[in-house]
Amino acid sequence: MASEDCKQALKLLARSRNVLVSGPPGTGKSKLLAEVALAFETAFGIAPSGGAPKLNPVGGIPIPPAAGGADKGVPAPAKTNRKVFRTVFHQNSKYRDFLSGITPAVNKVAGAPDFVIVRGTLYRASEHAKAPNGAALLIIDEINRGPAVQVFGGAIVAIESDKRLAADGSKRAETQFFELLDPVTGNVIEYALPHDLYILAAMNQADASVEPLDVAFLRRWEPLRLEPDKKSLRNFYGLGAKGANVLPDAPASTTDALEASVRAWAAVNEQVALGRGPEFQIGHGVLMSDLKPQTLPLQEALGVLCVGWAKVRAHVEEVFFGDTRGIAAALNALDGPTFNPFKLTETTFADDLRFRLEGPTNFNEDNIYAALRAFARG
Amino acid sequence: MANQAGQVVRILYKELVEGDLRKLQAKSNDSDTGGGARDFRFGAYNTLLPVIKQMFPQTVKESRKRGGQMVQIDVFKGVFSWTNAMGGVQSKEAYFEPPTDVRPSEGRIARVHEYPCFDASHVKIGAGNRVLLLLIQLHDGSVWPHYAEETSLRTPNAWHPLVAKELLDCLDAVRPVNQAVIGYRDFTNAGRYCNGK
Repeated sequence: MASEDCKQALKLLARSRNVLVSGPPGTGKSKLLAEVALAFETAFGIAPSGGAPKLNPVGGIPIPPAAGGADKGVPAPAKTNRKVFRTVFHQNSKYRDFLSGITPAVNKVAGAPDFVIVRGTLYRASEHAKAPNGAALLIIDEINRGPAVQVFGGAIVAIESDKRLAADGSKRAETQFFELLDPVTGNVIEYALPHDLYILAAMNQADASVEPLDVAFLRRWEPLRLEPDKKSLRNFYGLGAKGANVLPDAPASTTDALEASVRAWAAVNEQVALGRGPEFQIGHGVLMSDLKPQTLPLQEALGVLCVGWAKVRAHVEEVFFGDTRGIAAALNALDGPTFNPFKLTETTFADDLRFRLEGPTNFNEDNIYAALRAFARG
Repeated sequence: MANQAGQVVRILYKELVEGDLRKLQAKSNDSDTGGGARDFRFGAYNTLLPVIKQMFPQTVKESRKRGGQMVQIDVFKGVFSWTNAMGGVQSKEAYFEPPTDVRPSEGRIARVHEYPCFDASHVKIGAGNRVLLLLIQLHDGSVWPHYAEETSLRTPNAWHPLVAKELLDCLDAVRPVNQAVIGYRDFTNAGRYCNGK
């Protein structure tokens, strides 16, 4: 069934049509996009036309329309021709690829035009939503990794929910038109976006290689923020609520190692939030995979933890790049316990004080638990 | 969270033909239906197999003749549920047999005339009214056989719109005239198959 985040995203889409999901890496943004896409297209876990398909076992039509009216928490609940369109923005994303534009004709037949007009992702989604019984969800991942404002071009105003065409496709007083090179006729036409076009975008504010999004662009989106979620990680590890007990010197079981992992992750995130800001934390997803570590013997579970924690370490080193003391603080190596495999040392270079973080090149089964226990700070 | 009771998670469907109706009356002897076999055949076996395994989740060993020899094969086992005339729910173990050497792409539900849920006395196959056998699996795993007549599917607001569209799209798909409609729709993962284009 749909997760609470998925249902919230669908509710926001139904209300505002444009939703921007943001959050630190590993908080499940891309997973949420995929879940919403599936729910939108298949209607599983959501309630189209007042309800998902249900069996009526007592004669008559076995799967009749659901009783009740349209559900306000679902985009376009009565539309059955539902389709999801997807794109990912990058540094080379262009208006032409998103709306329409002219591009050279490749592999053209003799005598055909040398140029063709591209039908961009937003244009195709819009045309689908304008079709009878149509509804479209456009998913844009990494929206701030490309020049989003330029890519949207004249459509930037028209995407607003109150600037769309009416539900029946007619023009409203507030409908915002923009000029578009019509892929059908080749003429520049006045174009507006339909009522049942929904746009779900995701971005990670902590990435270094991103384009800034201006306030005018951002206010056209309803925000949905995802945070690192300790409960999700504990559930994934099969752990109950955190106890008051301290971590043992050596792990007696897989559970001890997983408990250390959760506590260490929470403590590292706390330090990152203090040192760089909450948007630079690392999400729970970085320590999750298809493997269920709680089902593994201790040594194998430690090996699995090494994989996830290599990513956490790389993230810490990236967000504190050039700040050795910051890295050391996040890994509790400033004045940390003696069993911490990481230690901050001081030396001089050209009569100047230099810091160096000493520690294992990689995590392995022999050093990961001690590291996690130290990171966890007790 | 929405109430999941009765929620449909997947539907496997195939078109019934006149020969199938005779099988249900236990008097089929059409030569091209296997000389009186009382079974519903499902082509595209390999494509349908993931759905078949979900609807018939167990396997049992049965003796069958293959290549002239008696061998043990795995037969898929599940349970069909239906509502009797008094409104009570009844269930019976159901079996889905894998393909034979002679028909390597067809699986089949055997001895269909023994299941009251397959009673087709109330449906009528005719021009403009093709009939689909639906195996409807619910959220609780139970499988409920039902029939769907084309005319009722085309009646506005008679069926759930998602289900009606799925079945009508497949009925209306282009296929050879002698090919029966077959397909499935899985609402849990957007999986679908239709043997037409």
